Amino acid sequence: MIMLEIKNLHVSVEGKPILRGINLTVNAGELHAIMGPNGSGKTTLAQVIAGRDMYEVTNGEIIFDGKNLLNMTPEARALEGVFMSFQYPVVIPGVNITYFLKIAVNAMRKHKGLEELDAIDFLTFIKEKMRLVRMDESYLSRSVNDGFSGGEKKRNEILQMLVLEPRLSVLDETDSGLDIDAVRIVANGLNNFRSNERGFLVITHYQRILDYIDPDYVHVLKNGRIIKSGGKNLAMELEEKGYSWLEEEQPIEA
Amino acid sequence: MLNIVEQYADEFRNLDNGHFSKEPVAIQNIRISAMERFTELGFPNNKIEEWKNTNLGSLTKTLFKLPSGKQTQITSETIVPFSIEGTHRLVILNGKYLPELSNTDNLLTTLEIKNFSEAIIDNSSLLAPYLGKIADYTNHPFVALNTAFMDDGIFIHVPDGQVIENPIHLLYISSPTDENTVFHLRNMIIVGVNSEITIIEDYVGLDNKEYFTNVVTEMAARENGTIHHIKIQQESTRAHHISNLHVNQDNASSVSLDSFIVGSSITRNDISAILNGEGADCKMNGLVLAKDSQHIDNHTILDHAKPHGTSNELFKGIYTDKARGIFNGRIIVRKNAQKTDARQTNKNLLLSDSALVNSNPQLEIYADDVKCTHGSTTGQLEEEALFYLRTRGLDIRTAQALLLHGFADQILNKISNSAIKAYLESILSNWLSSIKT
Repeated sequence: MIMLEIKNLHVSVEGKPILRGINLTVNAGELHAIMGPNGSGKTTLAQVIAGRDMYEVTNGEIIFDGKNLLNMTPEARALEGVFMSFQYPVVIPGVNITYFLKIAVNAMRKHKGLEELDAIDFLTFIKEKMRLVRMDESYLSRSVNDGFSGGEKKRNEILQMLVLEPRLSVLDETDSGLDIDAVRIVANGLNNFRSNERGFLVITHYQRILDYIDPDYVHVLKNGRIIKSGGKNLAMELEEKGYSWLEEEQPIEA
Repeated sequence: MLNIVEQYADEFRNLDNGHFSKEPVAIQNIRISAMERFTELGFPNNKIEEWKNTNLGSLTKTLFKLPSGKQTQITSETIVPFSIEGTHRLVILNGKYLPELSNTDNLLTTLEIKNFSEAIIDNSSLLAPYLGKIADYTNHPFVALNTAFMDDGIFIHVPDGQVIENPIHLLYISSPTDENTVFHLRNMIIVGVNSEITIIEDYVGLDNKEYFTNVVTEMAARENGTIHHIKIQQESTRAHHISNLHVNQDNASSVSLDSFIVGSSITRNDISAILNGEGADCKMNGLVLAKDSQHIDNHTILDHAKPHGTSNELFKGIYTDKARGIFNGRIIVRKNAQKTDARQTNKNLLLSDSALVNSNPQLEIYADDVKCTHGSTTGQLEEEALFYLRTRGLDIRTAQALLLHGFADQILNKISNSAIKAYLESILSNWLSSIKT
């Protein structure tokens, strides 16, 4: 079943084209890895799916569950089941993490027609999810990402994915800046969350995390286009030969 | 016709003719000399550096009259919304102390607390070293005007070695029967050696009248004494609030001055701490919530006069509509105040294009072995933080409110008493739900 369809997507920032005709289909149950060098447009793709308004979509569409995502506010997309893990999670001093997540979870539950969780039920729920990403309960009294290390911020992103239970998760370089143990924790959290109903776009610069999460497809993004798609082996080939190998093999059309 | 300054002088002469006769001569002389000083200084105008951004408008054009004596009727019901659990409350209504709604019973065994206008008669020798000396009337016209007319207020003296557990809530309610009334409130708080107290000065307007609060609070923290002072200003939307809060700190004393400002049409706060003993510590925090065409001017001074002092100042403001804010934060480190550590931060959020803040940190450092930092930022709500919250399913209004709450909570979290904090949280929540975003 088709979950996400990106058709001929063109995106500019301040008049400068970043994405230049992306086509991509993700079916429910699939995990797609998107790899590519710095500046290829990976983060732009993630942010456009989540609804950041500083990016201008000049052409194309993004269809999620048959609905046009581009017409929706970021919060409407979230409620429909789209989640993005930020490459650089935002630090919000003064906003308590538990309070924020409770509002978010209850907004989601309300949208699904479920009863809102009270304070005690929420704590039980969140503590269970925190164990999955090995976050200490002391985080519950902290402000959102305030004073967190790089690894703690990324684990906090995965925690949010686990509690919000999106159907489509877009992870923007969630593995970068992590040591190998932290990559394992993040990958483990992700693997436990995979199911036939969920789809994933895992954006990464390195092949490393793909050793743990087993992608169905690997796409290479360069200069705003997907220049090659393949299976898991493509990632290994890239690791061996680097991105320049593709440049030589498949020159980009103007 | 007499100009306004002359009219005030005229009023003073009429009163002086008998009204102050019960007071010690020394006090009467202070009044006279303060009135003389006021007539010399006159009202400030924009040509004076300290007042260049604040136009006092009708304050300097209208004669505000002393309270007529006709008292508004209020009951204990009226003050229910202003109760803070676990505090001793004293009520001053329209500039007059109201013993029937005040509770000092349990306090009198450990400290002295009474109406200021009685204290200047009964306790004049205790007051003498401080009165008019902590709040200098020679260079501030409103301190001079207050000192000439000073009336009711609260006097508190904590003897040496007393820790007062429950905070004292001074509730100043204004709901004058006549238009254009002025309240020259005067407070004095003396905290003895090794003593500790928490005071809340809370200014409340019950209706939409135009009136003028001109308050002066003098505080002294003796050696190793501790004062937690919390000022809450929730005056009527047409009120003028001019406030002077000054503290003198002896060796190893510890003072916190927290200001919460939501009310009035014009506010001018002069807040100062003189760290006049070695190893004194002062924490000065402020939160301004301003909307419509409110004008809120905060002038703060942290004056390090002796070595090893520490001060930490954090003033924040949220301004919307056409509100205007001024933050003028001076840090003085005098020549022998070596090893001083002074930090100052001012952060402002502007929620509309017409809101405006002037932030002006001033460092005057005459010692060479000191640590001094300051920083000031003024901007809008962070677009990226809003986006982050929205991607988690929060609608834009909820996301904005959460960010604003978080911004303000950094100040509220400085308050350790949970009942006071809850009282402030409800003022903050009401304000946040009252603004257009």
